[in-house]
Amino acid sequence: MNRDTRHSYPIIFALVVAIAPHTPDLPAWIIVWCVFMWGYMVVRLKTGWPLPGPILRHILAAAGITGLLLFFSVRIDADAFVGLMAVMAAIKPFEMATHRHRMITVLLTYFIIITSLFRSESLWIVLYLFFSVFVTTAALIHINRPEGRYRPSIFLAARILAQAIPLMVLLFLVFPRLQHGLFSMEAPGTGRSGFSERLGFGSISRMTLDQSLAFRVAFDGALPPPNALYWRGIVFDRFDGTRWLPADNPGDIPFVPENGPDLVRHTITLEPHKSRRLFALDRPVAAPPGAELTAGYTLVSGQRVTRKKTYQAVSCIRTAGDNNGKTGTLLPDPVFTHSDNNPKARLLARSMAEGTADAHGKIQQILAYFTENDFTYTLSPPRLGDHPMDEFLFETRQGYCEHYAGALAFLLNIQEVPARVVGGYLGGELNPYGNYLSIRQSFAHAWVEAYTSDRGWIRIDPTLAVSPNRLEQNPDGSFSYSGTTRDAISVFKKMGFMLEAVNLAWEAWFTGYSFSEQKALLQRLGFGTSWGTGTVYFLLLTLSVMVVAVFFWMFLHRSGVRKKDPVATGYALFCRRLARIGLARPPDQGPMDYLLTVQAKRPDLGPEAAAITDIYIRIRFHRTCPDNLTKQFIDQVKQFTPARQAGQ
Amino acid sequence: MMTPLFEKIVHQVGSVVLGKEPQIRLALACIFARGHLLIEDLPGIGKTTLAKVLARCMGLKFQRMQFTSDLLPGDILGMSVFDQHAATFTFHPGPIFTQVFLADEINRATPKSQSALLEAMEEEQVTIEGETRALEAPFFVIATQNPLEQAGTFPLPESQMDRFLMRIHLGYPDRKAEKEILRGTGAEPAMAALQPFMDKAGVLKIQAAVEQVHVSDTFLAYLQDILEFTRTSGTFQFGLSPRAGLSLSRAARAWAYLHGRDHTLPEDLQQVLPWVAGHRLRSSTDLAEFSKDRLMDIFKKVPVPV
Repeated sequence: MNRDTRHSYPIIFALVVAIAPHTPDLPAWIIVWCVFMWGYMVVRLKTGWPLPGPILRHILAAAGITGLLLFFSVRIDADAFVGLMAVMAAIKPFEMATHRHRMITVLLTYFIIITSLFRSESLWIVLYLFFSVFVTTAALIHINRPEGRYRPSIFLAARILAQAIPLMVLLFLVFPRLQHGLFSMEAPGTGRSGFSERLGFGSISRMTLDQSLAFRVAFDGALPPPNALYWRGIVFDRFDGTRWLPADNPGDIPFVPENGPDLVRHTITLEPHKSRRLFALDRPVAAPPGAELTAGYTLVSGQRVTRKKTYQAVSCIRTAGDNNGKTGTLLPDPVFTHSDNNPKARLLARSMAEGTADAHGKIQQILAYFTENDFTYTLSPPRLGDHPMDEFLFETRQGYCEHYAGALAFLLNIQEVPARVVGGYLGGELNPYGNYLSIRQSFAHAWVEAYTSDRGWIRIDPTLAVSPNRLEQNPDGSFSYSGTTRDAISVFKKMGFMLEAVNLAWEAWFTGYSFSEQKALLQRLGFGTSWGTGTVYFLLLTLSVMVVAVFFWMFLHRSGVRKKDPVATGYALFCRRLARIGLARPPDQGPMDYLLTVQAKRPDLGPEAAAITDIYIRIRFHRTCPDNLTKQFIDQVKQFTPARQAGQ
Repeated sequence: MMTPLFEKIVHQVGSVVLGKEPQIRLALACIFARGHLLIEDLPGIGKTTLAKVLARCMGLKFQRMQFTSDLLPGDILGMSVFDQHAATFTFHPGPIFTQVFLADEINRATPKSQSALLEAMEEEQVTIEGETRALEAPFFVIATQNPLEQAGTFPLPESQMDRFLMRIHLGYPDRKAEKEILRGTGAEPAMAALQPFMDKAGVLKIQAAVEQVHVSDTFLAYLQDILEFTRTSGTFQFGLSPRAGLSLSRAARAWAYLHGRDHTLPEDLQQVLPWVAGHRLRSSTDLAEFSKDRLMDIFKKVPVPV
């Protein structure tokens, strides 16, 4: 019992610490499962309740795996992998009776710790991992020291970790970086689609509560004015009666302007979102490497953005008129896949169109219609049915940005003014300490672009007609540039900004330390000039060989020390063989007492053990002993193979 | 098991001092290691009886002396008295001139008297009126201390405690032994029936043989590990002195000899360790002494070298 307790507490604690960072992303049943199993184990140590036997353990393992299969079905990704580790780690403490199992559990714990890096490489996670490694190392030391005090183990673990840090830094800096990561693992759990490829009524207002980050932006020069913070992502120009669908015209390289005063260069760090869309300030004019600019002035990456992606974008914030006179061929033909939908809205559009012929006039007319007819702006608009446009315009009259943008674009298209809905984000929150903008999912926005013959595509934001504040204030209540006046913000907010800036600087350094950075560093230190892949692999190989050689040398050195004293080796072997059958020698036990213990527990081994112990004592403690005794001792120990059970 | 001779002695002494065999064995080891014994216990536990029986079994002379605060060194050592007939000073030896000397409640005497005894213990000689007189070997002191009544006592300083090879506690007899005591007619008749197993020469021979017990390198390594541990672990206020190390080695050798071996094993050291080290070590945190079990627990941290 005592021994059990001494070993179980630290291991269970290490497991809890290792799993903890996964809790937000693990399914609830796995967390309940873990808490229950570990809780039972801890309570059991106090109450002496029985351990589940092998049959029950197998049933538990099967149940856990079944649960995983049901939950993840056939999805084999990092989430499922972490889930499997958690489920197994929960029941592992039930079979920690032997030292070997305890060691396996601790090694498993180290593995779980590593998996936290799948999710995030933020400073906090990395600091937490240090703590976690420390706890697990202390547990590892503790289970290898029979005496029951924690303090020495904790000190030793701290010392080992402290000694490891210089090596860690060195390896981080000079170990050849692999350009695509070792496992090129997809970030799990970030199933956030961000923008969907279908814009229905409610698909943006649904995102208003999602405070997670969409991307961060740092500007090369001065910050653009708040009314220019439109982040363009996707263009919808087809309406099927209930939803807007994206433009079907990728690949064309549109007009690229010369350098101009309105060009804004900025660096965007986009969170993974599992689509190929890249966001940039409205309107991007040049594509970063690996991406292309579509005819709708959106950026599309060559690959899905499954890892955090940082890219440079150049945008022209003077959106109107750039392509005046050059876009005749690009003029889209809005396709209404079904023309029998929303009849009342169509009727309204046609009746409005009779008054004016000018596109600008038509736009103003519709915006006026919104302001004059009691339309309200709400974060939680009512659900709409089969003819959403009709319901919105004539019944509910409550909407979020996608309602107004959708309605405006729809009405304009009926009036034969080419118009499209643009999806993206509006606004941003300035972090004064890092001087960058954070754009959250809740800042998602939709607006309209209409084609006018004199100025080309112009941006119209109908939301501002009903809620002029939206330009200054983000949906979560924060203000775009509140951070510029640092005194105005609360202490907590300030602290939040500061921590975020610190973390971002860390991530930029830690995750951004790439192969080329390493090369630059080494060059500064005076090593090498041009490394190809071959050189890298050669270096890797050399380094590995060196590490293996060092370990081999240490191994030889160790066994060399032992060889000097074959009696100690022999007696250690004797003790190990007995330990294997559960008769380990406590380090403070002398040979005679040990023999008595062995004889008491396994009388069948008595004579053999007595003979070996006798020779050992003669060699070690007698005044003189014959020279050939050592050889005889070694031989006897080697022949000594105790059976696990008496009589086998 | 000890060798038959010593088992017989233990048995014989045990038939008078009932239920105290472990202490009897330790006391025997203490005698043969040429050490002195400090018994810390309450009055009426059997300290005097133990000392007397030991002395008789080994055919040694025995003296008992009750220490009090007005005791003078001369009372212990003896003094010269003027003989009017011969018109000379004749030396009247004090009770110290014996072989087993029981100093009862040693902490009641003044430091001056205590040190007179301690010189005798260390040097096996006494100096009276400028004349040094050797004591007859073997010389063995059993001192007792009453740990509870501290009023009007002069507790032995640590440096003087160090002169005692072992300190043991007798403790109350267990129920069965006490029943025997209560049923019996007292220790006197039983003691009268005792036959000595050896004489003075025999004791000296055994003491010499104990010195010859072999101490191997491995054993010394273990002993040194233990000394090192007491000095560096931070558990103890002060570590063990080299004299304490020597005491440990001697006690372990005696223990090995009593068990019929001519070499020491780590187990011998472990057996005598709490009794040899107990009165020499204090906790570094509260300066209190350790109980025997606690001490054995602490020394479990020192692995036995293989």
